[in-house]
Amino acid sequence: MTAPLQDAAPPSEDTDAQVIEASWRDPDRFGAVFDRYFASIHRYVHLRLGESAADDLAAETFLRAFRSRDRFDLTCPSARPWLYGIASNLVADHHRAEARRYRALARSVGAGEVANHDERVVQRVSAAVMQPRLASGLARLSAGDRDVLLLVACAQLSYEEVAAALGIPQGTVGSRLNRARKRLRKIIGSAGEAL
Amino acid sequence: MNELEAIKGHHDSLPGPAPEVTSRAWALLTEEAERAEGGHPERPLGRPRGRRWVVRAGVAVGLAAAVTAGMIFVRGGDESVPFGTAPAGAAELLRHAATVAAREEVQPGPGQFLYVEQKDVTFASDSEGEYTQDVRREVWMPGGDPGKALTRSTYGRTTVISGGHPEHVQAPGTVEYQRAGQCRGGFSGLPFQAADLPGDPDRALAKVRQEAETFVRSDQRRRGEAGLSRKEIDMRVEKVVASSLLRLAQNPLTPSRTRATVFGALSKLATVTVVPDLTDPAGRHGVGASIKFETPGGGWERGELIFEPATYRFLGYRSWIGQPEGGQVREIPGASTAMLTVKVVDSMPEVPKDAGKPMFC
Repeated sequence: MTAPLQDAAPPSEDTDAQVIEASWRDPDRFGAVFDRYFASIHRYVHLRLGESAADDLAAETFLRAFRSRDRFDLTCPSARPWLYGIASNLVADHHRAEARRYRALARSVGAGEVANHDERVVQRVSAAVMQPRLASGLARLSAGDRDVLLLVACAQLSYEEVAAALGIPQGTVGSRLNRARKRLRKIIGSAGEAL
Repeated sequence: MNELEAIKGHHDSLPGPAPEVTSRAWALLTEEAERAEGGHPERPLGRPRGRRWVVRAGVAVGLAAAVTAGMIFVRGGDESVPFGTAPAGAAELLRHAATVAAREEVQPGPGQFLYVEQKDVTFASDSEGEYTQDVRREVWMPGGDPGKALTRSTYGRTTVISGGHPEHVQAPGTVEYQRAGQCRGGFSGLPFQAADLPGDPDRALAKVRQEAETFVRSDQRRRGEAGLSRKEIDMRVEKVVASSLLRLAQNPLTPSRTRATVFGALSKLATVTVVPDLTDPAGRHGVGASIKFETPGGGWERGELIFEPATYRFLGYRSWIGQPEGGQVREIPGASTAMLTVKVVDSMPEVPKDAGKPMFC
């Protein structure tokens, strides 16, 4: 008996655009989009609004995406900008809550400032506690600047993808990002501590 | 660290959605899809049929499961895992492992790669005898284009089990590169993939069993076998079920949620037992879930999934083959794997221009 090492099978996977196009005729194909991105979108919303809100809004993101899948631009191979755009729009409906969250994180990471028990537990056991200066800086950005900054930093979207996600010109992406970073650096710097 | 890196670092350290959150979101989407189709409640939203992320290695079932190198997040609620507490049995161990696996997600973005490093010990035999060989295997799986995946194998020492020193073996230090799609065929794939599994462990197990039955009957016709007893068919079905679940459980490219489902499905099998102390090929001790199944011809195979005792994090896999010989059954080692690293990286190596074709391709 000879038992050779076996080959690396050729992983093949349809692009998001192919999957979404297929889902126009066969809606259940959309499950692939959920599988690929639900965790990422959840984490993005978690950073912005907290875990409890993320549980609801990440689900809502995919419902909205599914309902509007016939409007997806098939020339874009990746659905990430589209999904992050939907998520950002949902977050925008809660921008006051978002700012409150950052302010709370900036004041303290103690149990009293966090929304629920689960988050307190997670924050105690993890390194996932946002630096207060960073939170303070994010709280003081405009909603538009924050959208751009977080899509670039968290989702690692390109200028072009951010522009597509938010429906703004690429030049605006660049200027918002510059402004946000400058402002953030100033706030962080004024706190006298480096990140 | 600049401000963008600080934000990214914080973002990446956040836990992924809890399994019940994902399940709820999935259920909502399924309902929506059913409405879109005019109502077919019996037809759940499908997993991506195109997903075929299977990188294979070793003798019996392939690579080991992915483990996030990062922190295990502890949540309250019904799904809490009592870390550090010895499980009462294999089912409990696997349920804990499922809960932990569901929370581990390594998701490369565009331009990034899922990087997996593992130590494999492969078993082989030829006319010279039997031997095992250590192989360090690394896989880079692009986030946006899995068709460009790359595997690098660095061969280590050979250990002779019986006979003389094998001639047809890679010398220690030999490095091979293998691109996705380079080595087609040569693998008798089992009939289901991660993408086909429902999220619920009971339904997943039922589906695996149903497809195993179909596979066994088809295989029986292909082999020209007639008149197999029900017992023989059942035995073959159970073998395919166990092999399939083990293969999915240990594959580092199986999505974490699917791996959790597979651990859950394995926990339903009455033949799984707990082994208090097992050692993976990297020498790490862990608690094991062992499943043994008969094979045609009077032999058997045994697969052992090894978990870190304190956290139920997946460490590695070992397998053993019981080979009938002269009226007795001789135990020989199968493939084993220690999962060393799973992380997202920003680049993958270039394949050297003078790299040869892999030996086993």
